[in-house]
Amino acid sequence: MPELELFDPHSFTKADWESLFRSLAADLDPWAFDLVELVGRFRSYVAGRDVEFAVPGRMVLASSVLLRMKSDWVRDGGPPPTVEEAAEELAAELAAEEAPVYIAPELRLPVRRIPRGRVTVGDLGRALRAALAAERRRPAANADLSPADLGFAVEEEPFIRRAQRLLKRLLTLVNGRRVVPFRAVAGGDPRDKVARLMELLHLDAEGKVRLFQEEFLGEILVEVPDGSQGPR
Amino acid sequence: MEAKALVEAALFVADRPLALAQLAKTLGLSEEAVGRLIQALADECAAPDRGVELIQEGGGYVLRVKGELAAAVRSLAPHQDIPEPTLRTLAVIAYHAPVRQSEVVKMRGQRAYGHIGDLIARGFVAAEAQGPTKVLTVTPALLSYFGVSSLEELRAQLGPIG
Repeated sequence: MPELELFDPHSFTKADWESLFRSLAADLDPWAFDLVELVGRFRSYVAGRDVEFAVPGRMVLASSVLLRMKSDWVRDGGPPPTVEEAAEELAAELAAEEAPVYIAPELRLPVRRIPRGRVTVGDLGRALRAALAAERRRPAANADLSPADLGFAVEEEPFIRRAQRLLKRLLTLVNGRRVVPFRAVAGGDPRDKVARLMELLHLDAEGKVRLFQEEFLGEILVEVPDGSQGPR
Repeated sequence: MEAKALVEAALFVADRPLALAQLAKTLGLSEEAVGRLIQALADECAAPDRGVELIQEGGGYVLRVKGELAAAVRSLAPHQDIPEPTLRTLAVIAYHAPVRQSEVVKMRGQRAYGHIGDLIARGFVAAEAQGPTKVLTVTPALLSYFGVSSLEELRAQLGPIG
C-alpha cells in the first residue's frame, strides 16, 4: 500500500530548513536585514525544485477521512474498520484529489507611519493642571505626618529597643547548649514572626547572637553566647 | 521616480522633523533641490482642500495635520505628538515663562532636564544661560504650533489651573 507512505512522519523532517535559510541569508547584513531579498531568494530556490506543497494538505484530508470513519462506526455501533479498509478508502479519496500548488505573489511590505496626534491647547492646559497637582502631592508625600495629621498617636517602640528586649528574653530562655529555637520567641502572628526575625538578624549582625539552620529550610536556631564571653 | 513624491513620502513616514541635509542625503538629491521641492509641497498643502500642512519646526520640516482639523481626527491617532511627561514640563514652562531651568526642575523633578533638551531640540523652547542655570522661554515655533500669536494668548487658552 504505497499510499500509507504519506503518513510517514519522517518525510516531513527530511529537509534541513535551518541550513537552507542559513545559506540563503549568509551574505545578508544582519543589522539591515532585507526581508524582501530573503523572500526573493527563497522563491528562486523553490522555483528550481519540485517541491510537494500538497503533502500537509493531504495529511489534513487523511485525518478528516479517518475521523469520519470513526464517527460512522460510533454512530452505527458496528465493528471498527480494519486498517486495510481504511487504507483503501483513503487511497480512493486521495486519487480523486488533485491539490493545486499555490505560489504566493511577490511580497511588498508597506511602509506606514505611526499616527501621532497633534497636541492641542486643551491638552497643554490639562498637562499643566496635572503637573501642578503632582507638584502639590510631592511635598505632602515626603512630609512626616504628625499625630494631629493622622488623628491618632503612633506609639511604636524603637526597633533597637525591641531588639535589646528580645536579647534579654533569649538570655532567660537559653538551655545548656545556649541554643534557642526561633519558634520559642516567634509568636503566633505572622507580623510578629517577621518582626522577631528582623530583630534577630540585627542582633546577629551586631554579633550578639548567631543564627543558623541545621538543614535547608529547617528550624532557625539562635545561639546565644555566654554572657561572660561578651559580644563577638 | 518623481523627486517631489520622494520628499513627500519621506516627510510622511518620518516621526520627527527632518532637516534639509538629512532629506538630501537620504534621497540622493541636492539640498537646493530638496528646498525647492519642499516649498512646492508646502504651497500645495496650503490649499484649503488639503488636510495636512508642511511646516518648518526645530530646524527641520514636518508634515502634520492642520491645526483646525486636529481635534476632529485626534481619536484616530492615540499616540500623542509630544509625550505626556514632556508635555507637562512644556506646560509649566509656558505658564511661568520666562522661568529658570532650576525652578522647572524643582517643580517637575530631575527628568525635566531630558524633557527640556527634547523641547529645545524641537524648537519649542529657548534657553539662555544666566549664571549657573538657564532661563527658559517659549519660541515663536511653539506659538505657531498652537495657532496663537502671543504667549499671553496661549496662557489665556490654558483654562483655569486651580
